[in-house]
Amino acid sequence: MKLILLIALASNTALGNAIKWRSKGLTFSTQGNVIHLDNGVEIEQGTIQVQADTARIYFDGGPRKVGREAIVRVELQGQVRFSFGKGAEKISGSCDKAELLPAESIVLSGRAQATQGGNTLRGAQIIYYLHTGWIKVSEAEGVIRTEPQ
Amino acid sequence: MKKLRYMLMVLFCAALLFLLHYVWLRPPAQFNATRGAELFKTQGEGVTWRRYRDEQIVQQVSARQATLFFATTPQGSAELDFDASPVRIELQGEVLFASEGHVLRTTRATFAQGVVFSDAAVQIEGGSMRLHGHDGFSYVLADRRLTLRGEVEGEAYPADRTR
Repeated sequence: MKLILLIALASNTALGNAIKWRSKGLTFSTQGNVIHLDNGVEIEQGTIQVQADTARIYFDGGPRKVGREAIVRVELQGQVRFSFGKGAEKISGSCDKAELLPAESIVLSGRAQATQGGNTLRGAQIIYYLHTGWIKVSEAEGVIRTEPQ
Repeated sequence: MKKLRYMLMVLFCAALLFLLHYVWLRPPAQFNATRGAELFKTQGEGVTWRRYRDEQIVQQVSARQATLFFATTPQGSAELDFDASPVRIELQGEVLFASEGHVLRTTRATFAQGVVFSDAAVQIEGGSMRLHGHDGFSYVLADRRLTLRGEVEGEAYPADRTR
């Protein structure tokens, strides 16, 4: 049974910001449209921060467009750790694979786990929608703390 | 005698200019060390190579100083073979490599056997992308593959907003 949980979050400030990255190795072909990052990667866009073993950054416009066009997708793999938002609304967690679609969402798959304050969610897939700040969890299980009466 | 020396000097300068304009990006001559060949070198200051397509500059390389290394003939003659491409080109000082919308800046680089490489810090710009490599790079001309070593920082804009 597929359980979907929707949680309203504070407005996201990542949209439109530059995507910044840091790694210990980088390869791309000026004929292609993808950058490969290796050996430990950190990706940041506004309040979104993701770390992973490797990443691929895809640019639109087909071949020969690395850097000359805009980023359409970022794929991260291996020991992915993420955080969105700040302060009390900050959500952090981990998964095996993450896909950042800059204008839409972040898709976290493979043993995905997210924590906000004392609340924890686990699922096969967690999707964070950048425009609305909503979260959708597939095959979810979790622990939600309630305030003492 | 003075006139002859002057003519020889003019001829040498013309040959050097010819080299600087035409040797870059041609496949380098194979250098086979087992033949006992030696390297012959010539230097130039403030050098620029350009490659045109339909009267448009598609590639440009410039440097404050360049040293071109040529292999001598297999027989070991010390004569410089002006028809051969250099086996190695060393670029020093404000090295700039512009190709297909990307501009790479560094302080030194070497071109040999179809690969441009350096251990110096490098900055690359192309469209909204900025890249900064701290520990050098290599660029394979055959498949135009660029690899940055060590710590790399970069940024580019997402599809919903470009500069």
